[in-house]
Amino acid sequence: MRWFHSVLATFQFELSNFLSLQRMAVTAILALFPPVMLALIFFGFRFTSETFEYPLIVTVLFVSIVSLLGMLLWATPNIYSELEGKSWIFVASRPGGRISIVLGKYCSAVLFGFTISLISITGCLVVIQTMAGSLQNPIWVWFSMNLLYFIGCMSYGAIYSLIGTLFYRRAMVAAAAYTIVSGMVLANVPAVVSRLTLRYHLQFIGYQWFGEEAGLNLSDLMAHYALAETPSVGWHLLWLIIAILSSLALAAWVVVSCEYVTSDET
Amino acid sequence: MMIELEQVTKLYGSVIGVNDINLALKPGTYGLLGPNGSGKTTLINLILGQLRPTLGAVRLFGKNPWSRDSLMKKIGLCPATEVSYPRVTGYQWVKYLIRKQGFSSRVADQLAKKSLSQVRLEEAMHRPMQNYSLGMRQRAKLAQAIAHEPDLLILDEPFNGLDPVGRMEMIQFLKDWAGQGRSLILASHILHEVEAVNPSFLLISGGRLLASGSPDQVRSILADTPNTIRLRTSNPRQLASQLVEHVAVDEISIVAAERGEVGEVLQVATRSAAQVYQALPDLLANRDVQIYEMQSADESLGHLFSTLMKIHRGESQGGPLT
Repeated sequence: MRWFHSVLATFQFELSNFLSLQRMAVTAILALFPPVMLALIFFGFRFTSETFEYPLIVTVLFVSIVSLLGMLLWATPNIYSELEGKSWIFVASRPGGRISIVLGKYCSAVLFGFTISLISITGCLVVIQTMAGSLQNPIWVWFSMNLLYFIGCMSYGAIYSLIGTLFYRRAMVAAAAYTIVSGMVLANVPAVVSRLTLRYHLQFIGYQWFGEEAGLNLSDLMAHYALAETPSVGWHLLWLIIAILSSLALAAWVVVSCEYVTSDET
Repeated sequence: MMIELEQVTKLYGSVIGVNDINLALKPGTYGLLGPNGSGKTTLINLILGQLRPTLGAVRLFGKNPWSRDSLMKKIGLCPATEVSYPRVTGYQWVKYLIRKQGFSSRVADQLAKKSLSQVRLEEAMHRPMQNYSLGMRQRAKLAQAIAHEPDLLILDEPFNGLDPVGRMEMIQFLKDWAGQGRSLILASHILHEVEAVNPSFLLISGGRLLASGSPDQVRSILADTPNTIRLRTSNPRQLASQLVEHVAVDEISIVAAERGEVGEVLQVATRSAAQVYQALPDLLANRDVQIYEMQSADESLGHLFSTLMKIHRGESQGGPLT
């Protein structure tokens, strides 16, 4: 119970900090970027004879960028923001204070990241239906996309939290490097190593949930990875849950094992 | 024992934080005294388990604080660092930190209000901390340290930023705390403020624990240690001759004042600073000498620590301290 109160305290404190004009503005800019861009693309296609064929794929691309950016901003500097604000010693000298900082900030980062995704997805789907009306089952697409991005925020948030505890002085750089190498390089390699990336599992779930609506063929993806059978969504979810739990457990172990030395130590 | 340190050394790379410290403290009131950069904060962080000793062992209430952070329930810490939450009120901040002790929101609310009242911040508690004066922030820091009624209160430079009234109130608070039989460690670089709480002294410099002892023992070593009093005056030569004639002065020198300052600076090294302070009004009376600025010997412990360091190195005779 003590831990619960401590984690909840961090979560609520972060939430109250989030409700500042500056942070709300950043959230709004990030969240509205995908629907605005999508609308501009639709307008652009009106001046050509071509049809905008894959608006859902563009939605996934834009929403992924902004939600990853949100997670980078809020999950990664979990330790560094406390050290920089000189508040680390106040929270670290509480029973269970170090772990509660990591878990509380992780929960708040997932909430913020998912809020961005939710607004973006809703905005994009409204734009698609208004401008093209091409979705067969918009409610399912909205629900499944949001669920996927919620899982994505939880997964990337856990990895970024771990990176924040390990490389706290250069956490953002390390997390950005991880995202590029893991998501853009390793995930595309048609070998076992790709299965160790979050994107591999998230994209398989996405293909199976709303790939058809997006005009994507699951067999193409299977061919790329040379798979004979499609693993079930449950298998991918299990893998992601293991990744989330192990990352958070490792982050908790790192944060209690590390000395976070500030410039005031003399 | 409340705190035990056995041959504790802490290195930051090649830099020594604390060096081979042996210490055994029973519950009580202690003043950790040392110049800036002497290792006080490192020592506190080792005691709290925020740092792991490179060599040696630390025990807090008989347990290793590095691996047992549940010990922090018994500790209240008021660090020297300044927090910088721009929008958070004092109440929100104190309540947040109390909740991190494991209290529910309702209990934390009561404890936060009580402790903020204890440090006289009840009227300002709902104002953003960025609008607080340095003294108010210092009191908010004290409130978060005492709210959960710890067995041991550790304060690192608690007098920083306090005005004279605030300092007096802080001293009174700490006296009351100690008077209730609770333990206290007070780290500071200013002797007379620590002395006012009447603790046992731990003197640290260069990462080494140079001496420890009662206030009387420290006073006796201070009596044998020349203190330098700095006087910026209109007529340093006349004042110097008067002082040499009437007071036991070890060394006296005149140096130029800093640019933009009036007068010249007279530096008086004496083993009886109190005698100089008592003699000054009579020496100045009916003489055309003005004093623009006086820096108390107590503000600088340089001589005391250099003497102790010499004793430590074996370059000088040992004093009465242990």
